[in-house]
Amino acid sequence: MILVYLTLLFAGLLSTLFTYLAVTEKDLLKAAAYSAGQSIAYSILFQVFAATDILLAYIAISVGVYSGLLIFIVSKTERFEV
Amino acid sequence: MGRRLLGLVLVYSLALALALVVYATGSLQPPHEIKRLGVFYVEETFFGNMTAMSPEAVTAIVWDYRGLDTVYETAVFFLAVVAGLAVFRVSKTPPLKRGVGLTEISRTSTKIVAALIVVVSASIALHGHLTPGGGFQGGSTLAIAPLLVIPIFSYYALLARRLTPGLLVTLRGLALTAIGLVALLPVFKGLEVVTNIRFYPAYILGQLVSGSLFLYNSSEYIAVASGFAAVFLYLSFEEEFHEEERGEDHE
Repeated sequence: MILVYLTLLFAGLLSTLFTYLAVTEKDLLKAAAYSAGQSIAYSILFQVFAATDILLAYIAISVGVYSGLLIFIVSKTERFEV
Repeated sequence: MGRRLLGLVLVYSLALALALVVYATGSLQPPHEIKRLGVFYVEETFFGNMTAMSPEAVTAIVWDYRGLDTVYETAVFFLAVVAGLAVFRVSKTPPLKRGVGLTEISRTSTKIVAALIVVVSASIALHGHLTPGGGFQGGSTLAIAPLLVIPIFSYYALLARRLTPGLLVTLRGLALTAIGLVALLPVFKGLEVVTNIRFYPAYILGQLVSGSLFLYNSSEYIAVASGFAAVFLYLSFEEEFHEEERGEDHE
């Protein structure tokens, strides 16, 4: 049981770190990568909560589709935020 | 850098304080009993009188017990893709050129990974009534394959294999029509809309297919994958092409 709580703590803190980095990062491509990192941390949380059905949709959408869309959109504007 | 560190420390202290408050008030404890609604689904999905003949309670809820919610969800996704296509207003595909693509290493690894993605997504979607997963999960996984192919082989690789946005949108329309038909067919036999086990067989050739759940999952699989793939293709066309298209529209 303590292992479950430790995994929750680790994934939760990791997701906060990635969210913070994604918000403050000026390089938009790096920010998209941080956002994908946050999604991976959330995927660990879903797995620990035994929400496998949500996990399967979430990991494909948030790590794959969402990051891909963000990179497409960055390619249509500029890479660096001013 | 100092300011970023300060912000991070602030975020973590706030999170720690919140966690302590939640822990101190005792609301962190998980419930010891399942709610009555939960018990109903656990007991009925496979064995009870109101069965959906599916050991996967989530799929049974999504497509059978709470099917109406999924209708609206699918409608929202359908309209979102329609709105996306309306913004781009592309009627043609760009003329076929030879794309450059990336290095041999990334090409070879993408070939392997893309094949694996197709297999895994098919297993997620077609076993959706037996194991966690389903049409939406499988379809969004399958959509990653073209998403990988587009930057690594260039989108001409898809267009050269006749995988045009027009074909993808048509496939999506057909798959959504199939979902509608599966829901409507029981009406012709005098049953309610979205009837499951009383109209569709639970077993085919000794294999558990859970009635309409398998049909819904496989149609949704194609609809979601082709919808996402069409959007990615439109997004990957060069800006010059979009400008040309818009210029022609105004004339």
